[in-house]
Amino acid sequence: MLESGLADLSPDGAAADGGRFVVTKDRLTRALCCPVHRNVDRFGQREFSLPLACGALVDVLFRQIVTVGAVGDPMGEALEGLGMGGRQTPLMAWIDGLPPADLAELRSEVDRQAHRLVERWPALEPAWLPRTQESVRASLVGGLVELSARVDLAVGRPAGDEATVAIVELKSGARRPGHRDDLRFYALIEALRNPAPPFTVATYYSRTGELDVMPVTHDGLVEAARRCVAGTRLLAGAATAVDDVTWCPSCAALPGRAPISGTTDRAAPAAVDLPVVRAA
Amino acid sequence: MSDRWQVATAGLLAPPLHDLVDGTVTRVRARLESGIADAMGPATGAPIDIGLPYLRRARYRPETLGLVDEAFAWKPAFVRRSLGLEVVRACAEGRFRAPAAAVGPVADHALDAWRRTGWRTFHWEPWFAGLGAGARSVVLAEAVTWATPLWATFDWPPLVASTIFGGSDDRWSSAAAGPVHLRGRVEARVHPSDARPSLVSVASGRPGDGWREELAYLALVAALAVPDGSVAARVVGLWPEAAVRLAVEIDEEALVGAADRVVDAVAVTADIRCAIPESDVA
Repeated sequence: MLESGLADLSPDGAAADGGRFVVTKDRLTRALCCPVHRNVDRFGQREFSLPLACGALVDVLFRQIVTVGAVGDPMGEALEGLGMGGRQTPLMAWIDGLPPADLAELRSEVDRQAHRLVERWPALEPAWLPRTQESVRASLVGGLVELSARVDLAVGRPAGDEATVAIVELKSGARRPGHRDDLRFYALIEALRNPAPPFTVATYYSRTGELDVMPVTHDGLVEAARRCVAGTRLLAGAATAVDDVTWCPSCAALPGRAPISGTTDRAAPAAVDLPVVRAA
Repeated sequence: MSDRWQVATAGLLAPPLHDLVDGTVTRVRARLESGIADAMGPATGAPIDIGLPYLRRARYRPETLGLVDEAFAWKPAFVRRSLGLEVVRACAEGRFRAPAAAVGPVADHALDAWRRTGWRTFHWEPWFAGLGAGARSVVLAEAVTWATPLWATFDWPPLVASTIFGGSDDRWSSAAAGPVHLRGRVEARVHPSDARPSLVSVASGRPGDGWREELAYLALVAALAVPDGSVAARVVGLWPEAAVRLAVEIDEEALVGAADRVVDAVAVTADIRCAIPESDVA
């Protein structure tokens, strides 16, 4: 489905990405969102906000908790971690320039979520082979299209013959149906690059402690592939089926517009134990 | 143990697929030196230090070769390999069950040894010691994520006695090659006592269409770097992001392909140097 759905893409539009279309979950989401808000630019607009900053900082703290199991000064240590590597320099500068009241609000929320993470997130058995911020990618159409993601947490033996990998995405904000599209995208990449797909993907909501677990199924992978084809074609400037477009709630409420399709599943979040993975 | 794990591990220990005839390395060296001389032509400038990343840039992103490199500053990406290799070694020796358990103690041990002796085994010890808890955890996390695919791809404990993790880079230069210096860096050398070694290389991204020559390049530099010209049996490449493992069996043809790839990179560099003022060459 993926190969045939993308086989006619022209490489002409891929020059900005080094001769290939790099498809990420964010680019897919921007491409497939409501036509009013659609953005198929290479990187799109990224406006900093308190929720975005909070998400970035809590991501750093989650990584720290998974790796060393403790946090002392959440805000200070999250900023230290965010500053490593230089990729988040603009966001660091934005945080640095926040008015005192906004900075206090951000600090308060980061502290609150960090403490909840420390209290609720279990220590992972090293034999599960936990790794954080793992970069994963899969090539399609002879390398013309590259699906790319960085997963917050993966456990299980990488590139194994059996479905032993589980992927967890951390979200510091409110639960949204689109998060399941992200999970399916991760599952799709893992299924394409490995002999076996992951056995489960999940979103952990650090604000509430909810863990939304989604088993990886054939139908889910097909849905992800269909969405991936539609989004990639939009990114590449190629024709795509209108059925793959969804309206955001505010725009769908306008006269003459109604949700066409898109993910609407809202399974109840499940509090589950992380699965036991075979020891290394 | 999974089939892939078994196959990958057995592949490191398999007898060489190709026997090398006498004089192979000498012939390839002569071809390399004459090719470099031809490719350099009238170009002048600073030494050309070629490693695997340079070969890849010359083939896939030649426009970047003329750019001035950023000033060096430590960051997690520069630490993860050396720390990650030490983590894999510690696990292979049975001191820890997995990278996530090893990384903290291994880093602490490196700092203790540096504080006690002043000797910087990894070079990053003073920088790491000055980091706060948040920054330090990022370095540890990067090392775990880097080390885990290498640890999980092979059954290391039975190989540990015959394996060198990391080690010094292989280096080669010669009067005939002029300003061109070759450097090869492998993540592991598995050397059974009665067979030619296997080399293991870990790379980011995904393999490009020149992956065979790139892997063979590591065997080429390793062979050129030692007086007896002993040649690896194979080079195994891991691209964890793409979950790809590929191997190239080393014979004369593979070494010639690698040498020609070096000559191509030199030619690209020479073209760039001829096109821009010498003072601007990186």
